[in-house]
Amino acid sequence: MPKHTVDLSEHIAKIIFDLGFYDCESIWNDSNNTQLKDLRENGNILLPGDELYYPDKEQRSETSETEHKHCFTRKLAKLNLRIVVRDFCGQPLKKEVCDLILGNETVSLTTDKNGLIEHDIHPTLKHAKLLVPSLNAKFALIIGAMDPINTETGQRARLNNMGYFSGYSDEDGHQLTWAIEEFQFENKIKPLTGTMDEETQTALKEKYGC
Amino acid sequence: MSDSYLMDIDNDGIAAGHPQQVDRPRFVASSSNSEFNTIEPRLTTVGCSMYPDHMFEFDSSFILPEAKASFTKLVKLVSSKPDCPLSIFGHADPVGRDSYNKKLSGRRAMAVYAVLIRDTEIWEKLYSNNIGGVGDKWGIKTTQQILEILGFPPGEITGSMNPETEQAVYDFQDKYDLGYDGDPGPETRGCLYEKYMDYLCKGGQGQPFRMEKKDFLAQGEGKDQKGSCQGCGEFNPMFIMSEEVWDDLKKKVNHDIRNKVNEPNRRVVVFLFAKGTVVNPKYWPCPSVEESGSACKKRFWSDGKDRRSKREKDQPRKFQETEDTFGCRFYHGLAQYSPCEAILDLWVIRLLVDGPHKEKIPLSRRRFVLKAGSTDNAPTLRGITDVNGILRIPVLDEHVTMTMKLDVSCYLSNKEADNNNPNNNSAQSGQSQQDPCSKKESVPPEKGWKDEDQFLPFTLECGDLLPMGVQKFLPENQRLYNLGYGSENPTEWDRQTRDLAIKSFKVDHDLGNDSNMPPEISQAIKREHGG
Repeated sequence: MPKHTVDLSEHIAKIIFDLGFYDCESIWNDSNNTQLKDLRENGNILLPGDELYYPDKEQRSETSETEHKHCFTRKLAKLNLRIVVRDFCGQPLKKEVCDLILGNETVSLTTDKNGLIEHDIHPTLKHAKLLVPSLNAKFALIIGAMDPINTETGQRARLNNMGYFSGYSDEDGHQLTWAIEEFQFENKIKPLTGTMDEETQTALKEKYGC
Repeated sequence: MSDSYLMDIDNDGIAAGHPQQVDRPRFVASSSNSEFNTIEPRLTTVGCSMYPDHMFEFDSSFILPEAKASFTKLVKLVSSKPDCPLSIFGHADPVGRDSYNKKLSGRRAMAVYAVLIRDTEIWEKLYSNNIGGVGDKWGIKTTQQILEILGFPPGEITGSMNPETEQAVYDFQDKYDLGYDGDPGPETRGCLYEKYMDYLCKGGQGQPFRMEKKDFLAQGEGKDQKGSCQGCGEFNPMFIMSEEVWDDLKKKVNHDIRNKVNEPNRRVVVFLFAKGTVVNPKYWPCPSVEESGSACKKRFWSDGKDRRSKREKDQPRKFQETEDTFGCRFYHGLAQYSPCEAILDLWVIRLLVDGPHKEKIPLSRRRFVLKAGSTDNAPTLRGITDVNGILRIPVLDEHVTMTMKLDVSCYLSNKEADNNNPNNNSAQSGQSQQDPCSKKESVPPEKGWKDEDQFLPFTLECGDLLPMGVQKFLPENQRLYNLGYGSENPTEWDRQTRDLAIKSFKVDHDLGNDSNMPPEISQAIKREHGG
């Protein structure tokens, strides 16, 4: 069975689209991918270097008449971008208008009572921008670049997104301690340790949303 | 594009932009089910202004007239960063009780806030000691100080009423149509405070500078200014004395010295937050000035107690070196990149030019642009030399090549000083129409001055100046060169160049006309150079 090595900001929907498939579920659930599935839990959050097995392509024949126009539509796996937007105090931003910019398209969305906005995206979409006028904020988004929860880069990214500035690399070690303690404090995890223990990691995944 | 930020640091305090924090892209995951991402803007401070302790009466929240200079700095900062909301943090030193220090530092923050929004009632509360019930006493002394500065001589400032003070109060009441009773009661104090606040806090053109509640972080919505003013007490010292020094200074006889050494810890810091930052005071972690410090302690680092009080045996701990002296983790996050929370060393540079009689004239009030470093992204500082031709640059690196561009042609008159002098007014306004320099902005615009490419460039090798006496010749050569003698590159002067430089120096300063260098000449060179 051929395999694909995951590159930067790749996720399963993008990979299988590029390979010409559409059914994420069956590939993700293939027995060859059991180990990866156990390790990552979520096919949308993979780490560069991960290996994903995929089946050989099957040839399918369609019979049709000549002299007629035939339409073949490629199936797309359903994929969403779901974001909870919070204000400077960590409270969900309720019923506020945001603009999601996807390439040339600008989509106007209103957050629900939990601060959530949701929009369908194409599997290959990588860059997007989220404008939140009521916070005077503009967020550049890189879709698929989120690393798994059990990696330090993934933990930093989640903390950064939630407003706990955790630095970007090992050189900012002190900053990561700061961010973890702030997170632990605000989520009532006691005692404060400043380290990403199991309880904190579980809470981070739950609060962040993935 | 290189970073450009205001940095104005001297004995009167600090106003500075913070190093720009790049908001990097947020890494997010797509989802096929119910997973989501959470995005929250980071609370970012973009500038700061610091009021040193000596702007306040000792152990008091009363703001002294000297603080005018600190307000000028703050106004400059606020004008350079429009729409960035403010929040004020008072700090005390680690002497005395936590509860007292939290109150006092909070009262100082309130006093500054009251000036900015011209709320004389807050001052009246501070005067009559109503904020929190604990705290400093203003007393009649503060009234006398204000009368004095407003031009109503109260006699000797003793802290008790005397006939001269009473007369001054009568005169003041007469001028402002107040009840004519010689008693500096609430009504008279209210008026005194208003005039005094206008004296303290002026804009670039000398006009009173006022802000609104909505210019502050919590937009004036919090009870007791929660979110806009707070006292951090002694929870976040900038430096902690070593055990050795502390053991010595804690003796009663040394308390004055201890208080002096602790001065940098007693400060009021104003932070400017990124444009558009809005905070609901309900969720703001800092307690109001009225509330106790228990919420502060909850927000401490897990090792907060050690951070704020642990002493090294033989050396002090400084926040700018170890970044671990603040007990409060929340404040740490706001302050950690702030030039206001560092006891910065400064390069002090005096710029002189030859006058018609070979005398040295300071290049005062000239605009300068200074690039601290030779790389593309080295920070650029812009400012104006002071009346003595001195500019101060914070030391960012021990050795750095700085390039400076100086506007030698334009002297910027001190508009405020001129405006304050009524005799000068008519002559000045006639003059300023012809003088192109009067149109130059004294506050550097974000992208720099339009004509700065025409400034005269210099190169400064900072950190290369050798102390006198460590080496033969070179320390003197360097100083002579800086004073305008000799030729390029003082490390390579030959005997002849050096002799000529010494001789010229001596002639210019009436010290002889030979090239001998006895110790007194060496000292004269050092003195003239400034160090």
